[in-house]
Amino acid sequence: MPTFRVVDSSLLIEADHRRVLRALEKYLRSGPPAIAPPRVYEETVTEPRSIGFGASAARIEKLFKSGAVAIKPPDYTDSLVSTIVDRVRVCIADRAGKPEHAVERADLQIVALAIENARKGNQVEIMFRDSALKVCLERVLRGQGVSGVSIIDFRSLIRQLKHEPKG
Amino acid sequence: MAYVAAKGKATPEEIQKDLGIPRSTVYKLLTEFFQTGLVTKEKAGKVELVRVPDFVFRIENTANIVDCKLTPRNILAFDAAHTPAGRMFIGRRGLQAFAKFVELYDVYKRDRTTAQLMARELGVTRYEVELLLSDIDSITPRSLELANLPSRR
Repeated sequence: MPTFRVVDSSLLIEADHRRVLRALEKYLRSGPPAIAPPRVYEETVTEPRSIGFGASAARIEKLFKSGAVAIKPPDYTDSLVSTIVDRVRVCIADRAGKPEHAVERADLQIVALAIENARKGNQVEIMFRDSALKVCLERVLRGQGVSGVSIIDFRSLIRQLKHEPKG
Repeated sequence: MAYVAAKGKATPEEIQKDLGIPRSTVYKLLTEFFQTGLVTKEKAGKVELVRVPDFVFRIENTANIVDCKLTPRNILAFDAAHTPAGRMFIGRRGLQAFAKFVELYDVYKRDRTTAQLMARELGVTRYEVELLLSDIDSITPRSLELANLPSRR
């Protein structure tokens, strides 16, 4: 059983788009504390609102305000957090054939948040869609001998929520 | 064809089951595809498999698309033009930007880029890219999510 869930923008946007955001809120509330970094708030509320997706932004903002997902900035004080984030950045940039700076550190705030909590002895579930990130994160975690982080592909969860009775 | 292309290979029975279309329609369509050479047959023991070989199908100089490369990996992304997110994206960003997204999706499916990098390259928000990815997932038969797609490295 995880002690923290780290939630990515992809999960929240998917849940809203598939009309299961309320069910996701219920699911997250019934489990361990769910956290997301400020970048996730920007990508799911601030940016969509600025380009005319106000209704969706409002629904996701409501989920944050309800406390189902708490916004928590990552802490890079632990040097291993920075090391892992930088190695994942390099790995993704290499795979994409891009310069290292093309992948911003802020892009990987969810990774930093997951590692920070795993290093404190927590079992962390990190939920996102990108396979490239999964490949790189698994590789770097293995290389650094970090345990306690489970990567969750949320598609089956969304399907499950879609078929649950509303209430 | 998009289904078989994305899956790599399938039996007519799998096509019928996964797509929920009548057997007679499956065989009628396959006959047409065999004739055009877009789909090939192969035997695996007693089972007959249908395969779409790895390909690059190029759309060039049409009225709305300057250039777009279709592959077995991104053909379902091209199909997403008809989904709500696809129509919205095309309406806001134009067909050429959508064609660029389709090309980037091939890279995405080879685990070589992320939604954030795609958004940056397209000059759009991650929100818009995630909506498209969500709709592509919704039109992808579930059996494909676990299938090994042909992958050109």
